[in-house]
Amino acid sequence: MGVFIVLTKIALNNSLKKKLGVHMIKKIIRVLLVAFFFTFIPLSFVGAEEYPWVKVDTGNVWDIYYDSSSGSVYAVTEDRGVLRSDDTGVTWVAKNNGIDIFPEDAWRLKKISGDGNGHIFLATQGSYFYRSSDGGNTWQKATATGLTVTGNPVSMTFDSYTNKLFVTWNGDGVFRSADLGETWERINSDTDYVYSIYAGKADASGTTGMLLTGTYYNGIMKSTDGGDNWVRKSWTYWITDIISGPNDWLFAISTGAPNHIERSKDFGESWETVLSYT
Amino acid sequence: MAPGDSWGTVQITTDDTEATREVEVLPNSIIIVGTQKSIYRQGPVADTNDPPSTPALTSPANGSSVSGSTIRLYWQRSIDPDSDDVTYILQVAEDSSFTVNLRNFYVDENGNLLAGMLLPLFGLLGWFGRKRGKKYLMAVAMTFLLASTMLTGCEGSGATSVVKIGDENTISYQVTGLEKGKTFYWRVIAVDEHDKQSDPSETRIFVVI
Repeated sequence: MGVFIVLTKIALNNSLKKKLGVHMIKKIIRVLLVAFFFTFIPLSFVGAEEYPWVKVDTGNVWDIYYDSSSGSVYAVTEDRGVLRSDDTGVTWVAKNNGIDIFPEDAWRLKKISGDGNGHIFLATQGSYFYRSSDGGNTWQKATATGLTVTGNPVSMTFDSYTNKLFVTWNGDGVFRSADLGETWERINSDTDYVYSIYAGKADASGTTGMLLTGTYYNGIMKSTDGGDNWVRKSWTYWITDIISGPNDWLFAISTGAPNHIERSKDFGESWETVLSYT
Repeated sequence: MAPGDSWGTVQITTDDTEATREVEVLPNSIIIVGTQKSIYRQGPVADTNDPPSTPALTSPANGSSVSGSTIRLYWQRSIDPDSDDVTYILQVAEDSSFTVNLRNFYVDENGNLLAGMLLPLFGLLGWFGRKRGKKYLMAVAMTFLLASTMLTGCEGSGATSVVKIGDENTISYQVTGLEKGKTFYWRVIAVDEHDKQSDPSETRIFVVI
Protein backbone atom coordinates (compact mmCIF):
# COMPACT_ATOMS: atom_id res chain seq x y z
CA MET A 1 0.00 0.00 0.00
CA GLY A 2 2.82 2.35 0.89
CA VAL A 3 4.37 1.81 -2.51
CA PHE A 4 1.18 2.92 -4.17
CA ILE A 5 0.94 6.05 -2.02
CA VAL A 6 4.53 6.98 -2.83
CA LEU A 7 4.03 6.39 -6.55
CA THR A 8 0.86 8.45 -6.49
CA LYS A 9 2.65 11.34 -4.79
CA ILE A 10 5.39 11.15 -7.36
CA ALA A 11 2.80 11.17 -10.11
CA LEU A 12 1.24 14.33 -8.71
CA ASN A 13 4.52 16.17 -8.30
CA ASN A 14 4.43 19.40 -10.25
CA SER A 15 7.93 19.17 -11.59
CA LEU A 16 7.20 15.73 -12.93
CA LYS A 17 4.05 17.04 -14.52
CA LYS A 18 6.17 19.40 -16.53
CA LYS A 19 8.60 16.69 -17.50
CA LEU A 20 6.14 13.94 -18.30
CA GLY A 21 3.13 15.91 -19.29
CA VAL A 22 -0.38 15.81 -17.86
CA HIS A 23 -1.47 13.08 -20.20
CA MET A 24 1.27 10.74 -19.02
CA ILE A 25 0.52 11.55 -15.37
CA LYS A 26 -3.13 10.65 -15.87
CA LYS A 27 -2.10 7.38 -17.45
CA ILE A 28 0.07 6.55 -14.47
CA ILE A 29 -2.78 7.31 -12.09
CA ARG A 30 -5.12 5.10 -14.11
CA VAL A 31 -2.64 2.23 -13.96
CA LEU A 32 -2.23 2.70 -10.22
CA LEU A 33 -5.98 2.73 -9.65
CA VAL A 34 -6.44 -0.42 -11.70
CA ALA A 35 -3.55 -2.15 -9.92
CA PHE A 36 -4.92 -1.15 -6.53
CA PHE A 37 -8.42 -2.29 -7.40
CA PHE A 38 -7.38 -5.70 -8.61
CA THR A 39 -4.60 -6.31 -6.10
CA PHE A 40 -5.45 -4.95 -2.69
CA ILE A 41 -9.21 -5.13 -2.59
CA PRO A 42 -9.28 -8.91 -3.23
CA LEU A 43 -6.37 -9.39 -0.81
CA SER A 44 -8.24 -7.52 1.90
CA PHE A 45 -10.70 -10.38 2.06
CA VAL A 46 -8.05 -13.09 2.43
CA GLY A 47 -8.02 -14.38 5.99
CA ALA A 48 -10.68 -11.94 7.09
CA GLU A 49 -13.33 -14.58 7.36
CA GLU A 50 -14.55 -14.98 10.90
CA TYR A 51 -16.88 -17.70 11.92
CA PRO A 52 -19.51 -17.21 14.61
CA TRP A 53 -19.89 -19.44 17.60
CA VAL A 54 -22.75 -21.84 17.04
CA LYS A 55 -24.51 -23.84 19.70
CA VAL A 56 -24.54 -27.25 18.07
CA ASP A 57 -25.96 -29.47 20.80
CA THR A 58 -26.87 -29.66 24.45
CA GLY A 59 -25.40 -31.58 27.34
CA ASN A 60 -23.51 -31.19 30.56
CA VAL A 61 -20.08 -31.68 29.02
CA TRP A 62 -17.25 -33.17 31.04
CA ASP A 63 -14.74 -33.95 28.33
CA ILE A 64 -14.09 -33.69 24.59
CA TYR A 65 -11.65 -35.81 22.63
CA TYR A 66 -10.62 -35.49 19.00
CA ASP A 67 -9.47 -38.76 17.45
CA SER A 68 -7.14 -37.63 14.68
CA SER A 69 -6.86 -41.15 13.31
CA SER A 70 -10.54 -41.32 12.44
CA GLY A 71 -11.49 -37.66 12.38
CA SER A 72 -14.29 -38.23 14.87
CA VAL A 73 -14.91 -36.06 17.89
CA TYR A 74 -16.24 -37.47 21.15
CA ALA A 75 -17.93 -35.67 24.01
CA VAL A 76 -18.78 -37.08 27.42
CA THR A 77 -21.90 -35.56 28.90
CA GLU A 78 -23.50 -36.14 32.26
CA ASP A 79 -27.03 -36.29 30.92
CA ARG A 80 -26.68 -37.82 27.44
CA GLY A 81 -23.68 -40.04 27.85
CA VAL A 82 -21.13 -40.32 25.07
CA LEU A 83 -21.74 -38.27 21.93
CA ARG A 84 -19.84 -38.69 18.69
CA SER A 85 -19.52 -36.31 15.78
CA ASP A 86 -18.23 -37.41 12.41
CA ASP A 87 -18.50 -33.98 10.80
CA THR A 88 -16.09 -31.92 12.93
CA GLY A 89 -18.67 -31.13 15.58
CA VAL A 90 -21.58 -29.97 13.47
CA THR A 91 -23.88 -32.86 14.41
CA TRP A 92 -23.66 -35.29 17.34
CA VAL A 93 -25.07 -38.77 17.90
CA ALA A 94 -25.32 -40.59 21.25
CA LYS A 95 -23.13 -43.71 21.50
CA ASN A 96 -23.90 -45.55 24.72
CA ASN A 97 -24.42 -49.14 23.62
CA GLY A 98 -22.71 -51.34 26.22
CA ILE A 99 -22.28 -48.68 28.90
CA ASP A 100 -24.28 -50.46 31.57
CA ILE A 101 -24.26 -47.58 34.01
CA PHE A 102 -26.09 -45.42 31.45
CA PRO A 103 -28.54 -43.81 31.88
CA GLU A 104 -29.09 -44.45 35.58
CA ASP A 105 -25.57 -43.49 36.63
CA ALA A 106 -24.62 -41.37 33.65
CA TRP A 107 -23.31 -38.74 36.01
CA ARG A 108 -20.32 -41.00 36.61
CA LEU A 109 -19.10 -40.65 33.02
CA LYS A 110 -16.22 -38.18 33.03
CA LYS A 111 -13.18 -38.61 30.77
CA ILE A 112 -12.66 -39.92 27.26
CA SER A 113 -9.50 -40.50 25.25
CA GLY A 114 -7.98 -42.88 22.72
CA ASP A 115 -4.79 -44.52 21.59
CA GLY A 116 -4.93 -43.27 18.03
CA ASN A 117 -5.01 -46.86 16.91
CA GLY A 118 -8.70 -47.66 16.94
CA HIS A 119 -9.38 -47.77 20.66
CA ILE A 120 -11.46 -45.27 22.60
CA PHE A 121 -11.41 -45.27 26.39
CA LEU A 122 -14.03 -44.05 28.85
CA ALA A 123 -13.16 -43.45 32.50
CA THR A 124 -15.83 -42.91 35.13
CA GLN A 125 -16.22 -41.91 38.70
CA GLY A 126 -15.47 -44.97 40.76
CA SER A 127 -13.82 -48.00 39.26
CA TYR A 128 -15.82 -48.47 36.05
CA PHE A 129 -13.83 -48.42 32.86
CA TYR A 130 -15.04 -48.94 29.29
CA ARG A 131 -13.31 -49.49 25.97
CA SER A 132 -14.53 -49.36 22.39
CA SER A 133 -12.81 -50.65 19.30
CA ASP A 134 -15.48 -49.58 16.81
CA GLY A 135 -15.62 -45.86 17.29
CA GLY A 136 -17.99 -45.97 20.24
CA ASN A 137 -20.71 -47.94 18.47
CA THR A 138 -20.30 -50.60 21.14
CA TRP A 139 -18.52 -50.45 24.49
CA GLN A 140 -16.93 -53.26 26.46
CA LYS A 141 -16.68 -53.01 30.21
CA ALA A 142 -13.13 -53.74 31.34
CA THR A 143 -12.46 -55.91 34.34
CA ALA A 144 -10.37 -52.99 35.61
CA THR A 145 -8.42 -55.14 38.03
CA GLY A 146 -6.42 -52.99 40.41
CA LEU A 147 -8.43 -49.88 39.79
CA THR A 148 -9.12 -49.12 43.43
CA VAL A 149 -10.42 -45.60 43.18
CA THR A 150 -13.38 -43.68 44.53
CA GLY A 151 -12.98 -40.18 43.13
CA ASN A 152 -13.43 -38.61 39.76
CA PRO A 153 -11.00 -39.18 36.91
CA VAL A 154 -9.62 -35.80 35.91
CA SER A 155 -7.14 -36.57 33.17
CA MET A 156 -6.39 -39.42 30.79
CA THR A 157 -3.76 -39.93 28.09
CA PHE A 158 -2.23 -42.72 26.08
CA ASP A 159 1.57 -42.81 25.89
CA SER A 160 2.48 -44.12 22.46
CA TYR A 161 6.13 -44.52 23.51
CA THR A 162 5.34 -47.12 26.14
CA ASN A 163 1.93 -48.17 24.77
CA LYS A 164 0.44 -47.59 28.18
CA LEU A 165 -2.66 -45.78 29.29
CA PHE A 166 -2.52 -43.29 32.16
CA VAL A 167 -5.43 -41.93 34.17
CA THR A 168 -5.29 -39.55 37.10
CA TRP A 169 -8.00 -39.63 39.73
CA ASN A 170 -8.72 -36.73 42.02
CA GLY A 171 -7.27 -37.76 45.38
CA ASP A 172 -6.34 -41.22 44.17
CA GLY A 173 -3.12 -40.55 42.30
CA VAL A 174 -2.04 -41.90 38.92
CA PHE A 175 -2.92 -45.32 37.50
CA ARG A 176 -1.26 -47.06 34.57
CA SER A 177 -2.52 -49.84 32.31
CA ALA A 178 -0.55 -51.83 29.78
CA ASP A 179 -3.51 -53.85 28.46
CA LEU A 180 -6.01 -51.24 27.31
CA GLY A 181 -7.61 -50.90 30.73
CA GLU A 182 -8.07 -54.52 31.80
CA THR A 183 -5.55 -54.33 34.65
CA TRP A 184 -4.15 -51.31 36.44
CA GLU A 185 -1.31 -50.42 38.73
CA ARG A 186 -1.02 -47.34 40.86
CA ILE A 187 2.29 -45.60 40.27
CA ASN A 188 4.32 -43.31 42.46
CA SER A 189 3.31 -39.76 41.62
CA ASP A 190 4.57 -37.79 44.62
CA THR A 191 1.04 -36.62 45.39
CA ASP A 192 -2.47 -38.08 45.16
CA TYR A 193 -3.80 -34.86 43.73
CA VAL A 194 -2.74 -34.99 40.09
CA TYR A 195 -5.02 -32.97 37.86
CA SER A 196 -3.43 -33.28 34.47
CA ILE A 197 -1.19 -35.68 32.63
CA TYR A 198 0.59 -35.21 29.32
CA ALA A 199 2.46 -37.72 27.15
CA GLY A 200 4.74 -36.64 24.33
CA LYS A 201 8.23 -36.69 22.93
CA ALA A 202 11.13 -35.97 25.24
CA ASP A 203 13.25 -34.05 22.75
CA ALA A 204 13.14 -32.67 19.26
CA SER A 205 14.19 -35.95 17.70
CA GLY A 206 11.12 -37.69 19.05
CA THR A 207 12.99 -40.92 19.62
CA THR A 208 12.09 -41.07 23.30
CA GLY A 209 9.02 -40.04 25.23
CA MET A 210 8.19 -38.40 28.50
CA LEU A 211 5.30 -37.84 30.85
CA LEU A 212 4.35 -34.64 32.65
CA THR A 213 1.85 -34.26 35.43
CA GLY A 214 0.25 -31.13 36.77
CA THR A 215 -0.59 -31.29 40.44
CA TYR A 216 -2.51 -29.44 43.09
CA TYR A 217 0.07 -27.09 44.64
CA ASN A 218 2.88 -29.55 44.05
CA GLY A 219 4.10 -28.25 40.75
CA ILE A 220 4.83 -29.95 37.46
CA MET A 221 6.46 -33.37 37.58
CA LYS A 222 8.35 -35.08 34.76
CA SER A 223 9.09 -38.73 34.06
CA THR A 224 11.28 -40.14 31.31
CA ASP A 225 10.90 -43.81 32.28
CA GLY A 226 7.23 -44.36 31.65
CA GLY A 227 6.06 -43.11 35.02
CA ASP A 228 8.28 -45.12 37.34
CA ASN A 229 10.22 -42.10 38.59
CA TRP A 230 9.31 -38.42 38.69
CA VAL A 231 11.28 -35.19 39.05
CA ARG A 232 9.71 -31.85 39.98
CA LYS A 233 10.32 -29.20 37.31
CA SER A 234 8.25 -26.31 38.55
CA TRP A 235 6.71 -25.06 41.76
CA THR A 236 3.57 -23.72 40.24
CA TYR A 237 0.05 -23.73 41.51
CA TRP A 238 -2.92 -25.83 40.61
CA ILE A 239 -2.10 -27.18 37.12
CA THR A 240 -5.34 -28.19 35.48
CA ASP A 241 -4.05 -28.89 32.00
CA ILE A 242 -0.83 -29.37 30.02
CA ILE A 243 -0.93 -29.10 26.26
CA SER A 244 1.52 -28.95 23.37
CA GLY A 245 1.78 -26.02 21.01
CA PRO A 246 3.84 -24.80 18.07
CA ASN A 247 7.62 -25.40 18.05
CA ASP A 248 7.16 -28.34 20.41
CA TRP A 249 6.58 -25.82 23.17
CA LEU A 250 4.39 -26.81 26.09
CA PHE A 251 1.79 -24.79 27.93
CA ALA A 252 0.44 -25.40 31.41
CA ILE A 253 -2.80 -23.90 32.63
CA SER A 254 -2.64 -22.92 36.29
CA THR A 255 -5.65 -22.02 38.36
CA GLY A 256 -5.53 -19.83 41.44
CA ALA A 257 -3.20 -17.35 43.14
CA PRO A 258 -3.50 -15.91 40.47
CA ASN A 259 -4.59 -17.75 37.33
CA HIS A 260 -1.73 -17.95 34.91
CA ILE A 261 -0.28 -19.77 31.93
CA GLU A 262 3.20 -21.29 31.97
CA ARG A 263 5.31 -22.03 28.90
CA SER A 264 8.18 -24.46 28.43
CA LYS A 265 10.52 -24.34 25.44
CA ASP A 266 12.64 -27.29 26.52
CA PHE A 267 10.24 -30.21 26.84
CA GLY A 268 9.20 -29.43 30.37
CA GLU A 269 12.64 -28.90 31.90
CA SER A 270 11.97 -25.24 32.72
CA TRP A 271 8.85 -23.09 32.79
CA GLU A 272 8.11 -19.38 32.49
CA THR A 273 4.94 -17.45 33.17
CA VAL A 274 3.58 -15.89 29.99
CA LEU A 275 0.21 -14.70 31.24
CA SER A 276 -1.43 -13.88 34.56
CA TYR A 277 -5.14 -13.16 34.67
CA THR A 278 -8.04 -12.95 37.05
CA MET B 1 6.10 -12.78 18.18
CA ALA B 2 6.53 -16.28 19.58
CA PRO B 3 3.73 -18.71 20.38
CA GLY B 4 2.25 -17.79 23.75
CA ASP B 5 3.62 -14.26 23.85
CA SER B 6 0.22 -12.68 23.50
CA TRP B 7 -3.19 -13.84 24.59
CA GLY B 8 -6.74 -12.71 24.01
CA THR B 9 -10.17 -13.65 25.20
CA VAL B 10 -12.85 -15.46 23.27
CA GLN B 11 -16.43 -14.36 23.83
CA ILE B 12 -19.13 -16.96 23.45
CA THR B 13 -22.72 -15.84 23.79
CA THR B 14 -24.46 -18.43 25.92
CA ASP B 15 -28.07 -18.84 26.94
CA ASP B 16 -27.25 -18.70 30.61
CA THR B 17 -24.31 -18.71 32.94
CA GLU B 18 -22.40 -21.74 31.79
CA ALA B 19 -19.02 -22.74 33.07
CA THR B 20 -16.66 -23.77 30.30
CA ARG B 21 -15.29 -27.23 30.92
CA GLU B 22 -13.43 -28.33 27.82
CA VAL B 23 -11.88 -26.87 24.70
CA GLU B 24 -10.72 -28.95 21.75
CA VAL B 25 -9.01 -27.56 18.68
CA LEU B 26 -9.44 -29.48 15.43
CA PRO B 27 -7.68 -29.04 12.10
CA ASN B 28 -8.74 -26.05 9.98
CA SER B 29 -8.98 -23.91 13.12
CA ILE B 30 -12.22 -25.51 14.21
CA ILE B 31 -12.80 -24.99 17.93
CA ILE B 32 -15.24 -26.98 20.02
CA VAL B 33 -16.15 -25.86 23.52
CA GLY B 34 -18.07 -27.90 26.05
CA THR B 35 -19.91 -26.16 28.88
CA GLN B 36 -22.20 -27.27 31.66
CA LYS B 37 -25.14 -27.07 29.31
CA SER B 38 -24.05 -27.03 25.72
CA ILE B 39 -21.57 -27.76 22.99
CA TYR B 40 -20.42 -24.77 20.99
CA ARG B 41 -18.53 -24.77 17.74
CA GLN B 42 -16.62 -22.20 15.75
CA GLY B 43 -15.07 -22.72 12.34
CA PRO B 44 -15.74 -23.69 8.77
CA VAL B 45 -18.23 -26.43 8.11
CA ALA B 46 -16.71 -29.38 6.34
CA ASP B 47 -17.44 -29.60 2.68
CA THR B 48 -20.22 -32.14 2.40
CA ASN B 49 -20.95 -31.31 -1.18
CA ASP B 50 -20.50 -34.25 -3.51
CA PRO B 51 -19.60 -33.99 -7.18
CA PRO B 52 -22.01 -34.91 -9.95
CA SER B 53 -21.81 -38.34 -11.46
CA THR B 54 -19.35 -38.86 -14.28
CA PRO B 55 -20.97 -38.15 -17.63
CA ALA B 56 -21.47 -41.14 -19.90
CA LEU B 57 -20.77 -40.52 -23.57
CA THR B 58 -23.38 -41.89 -25.93
CA SER B 59 -22.68 -40.79 -29.48
CA PRO B 60 -20.84 -40.97 -31.80
CA ALA B 61 -19.23 -44.31 -31.13
CA ASN B 62 -15.54 -44.35 -30.36
CA GLY B 63 -13.44 -44.22 -33.50
CA SER B 64 -16.21 -42.93 -35.75
CA SER B 65 -15.45 -41.12 -38.98
CA VAL B 66 -17.34 -37.97 -39.79
CA SER B 67 -17.48 -36.02 -42.99
CA GLY B 68 -17.62 -32.29 -43.13
CA SER B 69 -16.41 -29.82 -40.58
CA THR B 70 -19.07 -30.26 -37.89
CA ILE B 71 -20.07 -32.98 -35.50
CA ARG B 72 -22.74 -33.25 -32.82
CA LEU B 73 -21.57 -34.93 -29.63
CA TYR B 74 -23.99 -36.62 -27.19
CA TRP B 75 -23.70 -37.64 -23.55
CA GLN B 76 -25.94 -38.68 -20.71
CA ARG B 77 -27.10 -36.11 -18.16
CA SER B 78 -25.19 -36.39 -14.87
CA ILE B 79 -26.90 -36.89 -11.54
CA ASP B 80 -25.90 -34.64 -8.66
CA PRO B 81 -26.38 -36.27 -5.24
CA ASP B 82 -27.04 -32.85 -3.69
CA SER B 83 -29.58 -31.91 -6.34
CA ASP B 84 -27.37 -29.05 -7.49
CA ASP B 85 -27.66 -27.60 -10.95
CA VAL B 86 -25.11 -29.21 -13.23
CA THR B 87 -23.22 -27.76 -16.15
CA TYR B 88 -20.75 -29.47 -18.43
CA ILE B 89 -17.33 -28.87 -19.86
CA LEU B 90 -17.03 -30.50 -23.26
CA GLN B 91 -13.38 -30.82 -24.16
CA VAL B 92 -12.16 -31.38 -27.69
CA ALA B 93 -8.47 -31.65 -28.45
CA GLU B 94 -6.05 -33.20 -30.89
CA ASP B 95 -4.26 -35.40 -28.38
CA SER B 96 -5.32 -37.82 -25.69
CA SER B 97 -3.91 -35.70 -22.90
CA PHE B 98 -6.03 -32.74 -24.02
CA THR B 99 -3.23 -30.27 -24.45
CA VAL B 100 -2.96 -29.77 -28.22
CA ASN B 101 -5.48 -27.25 -29.54
CA LEU B 102 -7.76 -27.86 -26.60
CA ARG B 103 -11.17 -26.27 -26.86
CA ASN B 104 -13.48 -26.11 -23.86
CA PHE B 105 -17.20 -25.65 -24.39
CA TYR B 106 -19.19 -24.77 -21.29
CA VAL B 107 -22.67 -26.18 -21.72
CA ASP B 108 -25.68 -25.97 -19.42
CA GLU B 109 -28.23 -28.69 -18.65
CA ASN B 110 -30.27 -27.70 -21.67
CA GLY B 111 -27.37 -27.99 -24.02
CA ASN B 112 -26.92 -24.25 -24.37
CA LEU B 113 -23.55 -22.65 -24.33
CA LEU B 114 -22.84 -20.66 -21.19
CA ALA B 115 -21.95 -16.98 -21.36
CA GLY B 116 -18.31 -16.05 -21.08
CA MET B 117 -17.10 -14.39 -17.92
CA LEU B 118 -13.87 -12.79 -18.99
CA LEU B 119 -14.97 -10.39 -21.71
CA PRO B 120 -16.71 -7.93 -19.29
CA LEU B 121 -13.49 -7.89 -17.26
CA PHE B 122 -11.41 -7.01 -20.29
CA GLY B 123 -13.98 -4.40 -21.13
CA LEU B 124 -13.62 -2.89 -17.67
CA LEU B 125 -9.86 -2.81 -18.02
CA GLY B 126 -10.25 -1.17 -21.37
CA TRP B 127 -12.58 1.40 -19.81
CA PHE B 128 -9.79 2.75 -17.66
CA GLY B 129 -7.61 3.21 -20.67
CA ARG B 130 -10.05 5.14 -22.83
CA LYS B 131 -10.44 8.82 -23.20
CA ARG B 132 -13.68 10.25 -21.91
CA GLY B 133 -14.96 10.93 -25.40
CA LYS B 134 -14.73 7.28 -26.32
CA LYS B 135 -16.31 5.81 -23.19
CA TYR B 136 -19.81 5.71 -24.62
CA LEU B 137 -18.51 3.89 -27.66
CA MET B 138 -16.74 1.48 -25.28
CA ALA B 139 -19.98 0.85 -23.40
CA VAL B 140 -21.76 0.00 -26.63
CA ALA B 141 -18.91 -2.29 -27.62
CA MET B 142 -18.97 -4.05 -24.25
CA THR B 143 -22.71 -4.61 -24.50
CA PHE B 144 -22.28 -6.00 -27.99
CA LEU B 145 -19.46 -8.28 -26.89
CA LEU B 146 -21.44 -9.57 -23.91
CA ALA B 147 -24.47 -10.24 -26.05
CA SER B 148 -22.43 -11.99 -28.69
CA THR B 149 -20.77 -14.08 -26.00
CA MET B 150 -24.16 -15.30 -24.88
CA LEU B 151 -24.60 -16.71 -28.33
CA THR B 152 -21.16 -17.92 -29.28
CA GLY B 153 -19.49 -19.03 -26.06
CA CYS B 154 -16.32 -17.98 -24.36
CA GLU B 155 -13.78 -20.24 -25.89
CA GLY B 156 -13.27 -22.11 -29.08
CA SER B 157 -13.58 -20.64 -32.49
CA GLY B 158 -15.88 -23.34 -33.66
CA ALA B 159 -18.71 -22.89 -31.15
CA THR B 160 -22.22 -22.55 -32.48
CA SER B 161 -25.69 -22.32 -31.02
CA VAL B 162 -27.26 -25.64 -30.07
CA VAL B 163 -30.34 -27.49 -31.18
CA LYS B 164 -31.28 -30.04 -28.55
CA ILE B 165 -31.69 -33.52 -29.94
CA GLY B 166 -32.60 -36.74 -28.20
CA ASP B 167 -34.43 -37.53 -24.97
CA GLU B 168 -34.37 -35.36 -21.88
CA ASN B 169 -31.57 -37.38 -20.32
CA THR B 170 -29.29 -36.70 -23.23
CA ILE B 171 -27.32 -33.53 -23.81
CA SER B 172 -25.74 -32.69 -27.11
CA TYR B 173 -23.50 -30.06 -28.52
CA GLN B 174 -22.41 -29.34 -32.03
CA VAL B 175 -18.79 -28.54 -32.65
CA THR B 176 -17.81 -26.82 -35.85
CA GLY B 177 -14.63 -25.70 -37.52
CA LEU B 178 -13.07 -29.15 -37.63
CA GLU B 179 -10.21 -29.71 -40.01
CA LYS B 180 -10.34 -32.61 -42.40
CA GLY B 181 -7.86 -35.40 -41.96
CA LYS B 182 -7.41 -34.83 -38.26
CA THR B 183 -8.23 -37.07 -35.32
CA PHE B 184 -9.99 -35.42 -32.39
CA TYR B 185 -10.31 -36.57 -28.79
CA TRP B 186 -13.32 -35.58 -26.72
CA ARG B 187 -14.61 -36.01 -23.21
CA VAL B 188 -17.05 -34.34 -20.82
CA ILE B 189 -16.74 -33.16 -17.21
CA ALA B 190 -19.80 -32.35 -15.10
CA VAL B 191 -19.64 -29.38 -12.71
CA ASP B 192 -22.10 -28.61 -9.95
CA GLU B 193 -23.12 -25.13 -8.82
CA HIS B 194 -20.38 -25.15 -6.19
CA ASP B 195 -17.78 -25.75 -8.89
CA LYS B 196 -17.14 -29.29 -7.78
CA GLN B 197 -16.22 -31.35 -10.80
CA SER B 198 -16.90 -34.97 -11.62
CA ASP B 199 -14.21 -37.22 -12.94
CA PRO B 200 -13.77 -36.81 -16.66
CA SER B 201 -15.81 -39.17 -18.79
CA GLU B 202 -14.14 -41.77 -20.91
CA THR B 203 -12.23 -40.31 -23.85
CA ARG B 204 -13.48 -41.03 -27.33
CA ILE B 205 -12.00 -40.17 -30.68
CA PHE B 206 -13.44 -39.30 -34.07
CA VAL B 207 -11.74 -38.75 -37.40
CA VAL B 208 -12.75 -36.01 -39.79
CA ILE B 209 -12.62 -37.22 -43.37
